[in-house]
Amino acid sequence: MTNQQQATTQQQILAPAAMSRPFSPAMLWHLLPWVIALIFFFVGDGYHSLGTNILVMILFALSLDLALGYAGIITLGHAAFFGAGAYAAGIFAIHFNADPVLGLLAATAIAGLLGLLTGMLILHTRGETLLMLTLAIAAIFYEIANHARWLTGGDDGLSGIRVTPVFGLFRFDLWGKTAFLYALSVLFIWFIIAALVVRSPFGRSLDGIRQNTKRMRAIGTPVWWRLVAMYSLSAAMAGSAGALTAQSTRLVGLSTLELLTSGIVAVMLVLGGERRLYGAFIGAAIYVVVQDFAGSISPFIWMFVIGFLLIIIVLFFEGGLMGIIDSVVAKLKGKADASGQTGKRT
Amino acid sequence: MKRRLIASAAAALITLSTAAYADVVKFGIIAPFSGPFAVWGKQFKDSVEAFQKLNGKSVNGHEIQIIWRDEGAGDASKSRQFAEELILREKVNVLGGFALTPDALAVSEVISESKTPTIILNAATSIVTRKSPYFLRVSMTVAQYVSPLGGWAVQNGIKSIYTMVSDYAPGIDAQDEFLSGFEKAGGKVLGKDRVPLNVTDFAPYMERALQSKADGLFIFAPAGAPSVAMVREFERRGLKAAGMKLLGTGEMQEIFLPSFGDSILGAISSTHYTESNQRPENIAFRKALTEVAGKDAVPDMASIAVWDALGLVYETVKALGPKFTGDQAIDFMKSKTINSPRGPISWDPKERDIIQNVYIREVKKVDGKLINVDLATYEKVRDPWKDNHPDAK
Repeated sequence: MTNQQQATTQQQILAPAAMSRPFSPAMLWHLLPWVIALIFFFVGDGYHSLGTNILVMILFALSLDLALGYAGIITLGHAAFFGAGAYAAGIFAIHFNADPVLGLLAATAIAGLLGLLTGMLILHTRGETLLMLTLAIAAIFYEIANHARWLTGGDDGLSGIRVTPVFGLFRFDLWGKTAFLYALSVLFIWFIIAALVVRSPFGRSLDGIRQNTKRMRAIGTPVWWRLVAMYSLSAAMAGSAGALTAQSTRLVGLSTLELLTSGIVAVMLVLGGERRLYGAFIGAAIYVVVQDFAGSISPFIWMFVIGFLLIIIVLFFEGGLMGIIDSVVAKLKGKADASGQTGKRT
Repeated sequence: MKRRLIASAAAALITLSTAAYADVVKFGIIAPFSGPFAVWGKQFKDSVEAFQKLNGKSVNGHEIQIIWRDEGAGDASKSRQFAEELILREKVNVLGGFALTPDALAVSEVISESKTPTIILNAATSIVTRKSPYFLRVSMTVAQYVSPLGGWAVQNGIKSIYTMVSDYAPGIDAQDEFLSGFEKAGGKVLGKDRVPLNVTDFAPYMERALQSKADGLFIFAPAGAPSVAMVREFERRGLKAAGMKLLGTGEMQEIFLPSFGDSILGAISSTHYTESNQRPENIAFRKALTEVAGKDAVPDMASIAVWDALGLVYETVKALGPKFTGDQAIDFMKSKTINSPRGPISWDPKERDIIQNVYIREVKKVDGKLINVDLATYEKVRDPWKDNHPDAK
């Protein structure tokens, strides 16, 4: 990190960008994903389930972005929290209360708590050791769910989940319209939280930790606690995503805890671009849509399409699809207004 | 004016009736074409092509169209999503597929609401068909094809047994079903072992089984790489040389036999389909399959399931025409008896679960080829789990 960069970081810590930025028409772009989602809600008959799956994966990828992208916690075991959230929501609905919002909160809290506990255990380490430990924790979660058949249904999946209407008003209709709006609202809330967090001094300090841990420690940052806090927040968010999938599908399978699930969400994030909140949006949407459409043209080719896209993006476009968009926007802005804000979005 | 009106009305009627005549009946199949179970999708597809080659792509002029969806490595939310798309957008008349139980369970709510007849092509957990009145199973249940094996083993000189199953729900169900028959017939259980699903080195497990000095070893592992590795280790660790008999189910399907070589000779298995049986239906089936998928194509449980499912759909369209309600279709299908390549199959009208023969087979070498040869046939075997749990939901 150059001195200049550090100076900017320091500055931003003192004056978080989001809160001090004056309004500009460019900010309207932030409405785009939500507008698209709402339009989809009205025209996407028959595809609401697909839409809900996309929203769930966006939330999951966003949670990984917090841990992997912003805090630099290398993890291949994030499905542990996704699955934990899904099972928690399912079990809560079956044995305690079928209210979806309560179930979602419970699942989020449980996943966050598990993130806190496991984070405290493993975040002393970095690099490959950390990677291995995240894998190990995901494997432990998987085996627990596989063995506790009386609770989770094991390999047959957890079925019999009932969901009452949201706030007692909006019934989960069969074709997933309510589920879609519900998932969209949850995603929106989490997105606001994530945006505030990454722009807060806390988020900035994690930026510093990712780039130079020793230096951050030298200036007195409680590195371990900051990492644990972010990991736990990320786990809670992944748990929410899991709860959403449990409530919209009304069935939880062991696949929610599988290594493959952790891998897929990492692919989505890399595809869309790390450390750009919207990267998760683009990556997850493209992945799920390509899987769906390439899959219906020929089920045999969709993995090839995704693999090819991923290779091209990783080789040639640092920062994923969002990186491409950013550089195009920066170029256009540079032409239109040389003095305009071209500050890279974080 | 009046005449013209009548003429155009008649013309409209004619167009309408021809339109009704040349209807398309859509059969949506959700199956894995990618990921660890991709072989299922390939077998399904080959078998469908073979069926349509032999029986044509239409019934009484109504085209039977197959719409495929890839459920990948098994994901309940994807399965449900595809079911909704197929029903709402594609307006499929019949749904089918599901390699894994959770994927079938995930669609139960959807198909109950839309009243879509849904044919299960694999998912072998007993409970599935009770989750919706529109489920009908053409595959098997684990309990069903394991059930005769325990009793048969004791009658045929295997007095003591060691069991080794993959540690997941179907493995444990298979072990329990086998042991209940085995113990009822007076056999002695010398040990039970569970192997985690991702284990690839079976040496220590086989060593323990060998130490037990049992007459036989019962195994159950997901058909494919794990089951092949398990069976190979049986020979490599000298269990066969020590005189132990290997008992299994899908592990000894003909499709896997070439990967074992002659060491597999003498292995016993119990399943609902003996690939080399000489029924005329089976000879026709295998001939059609080799024409489509090459001369080395070997059918397996997947091929036979989708073959019979298509048979049911064709019969349904033949009897009910291209337009039918879910209730009509399910009522019709569950009352059928079909001469399948595997033998006669029918359905329990209450449970909509398949009733079929279970064959105890031994691997032998015939004309230089390793095949399964029937030793015993248990006719019209029902799913024992359902009979033991009449009220489970």
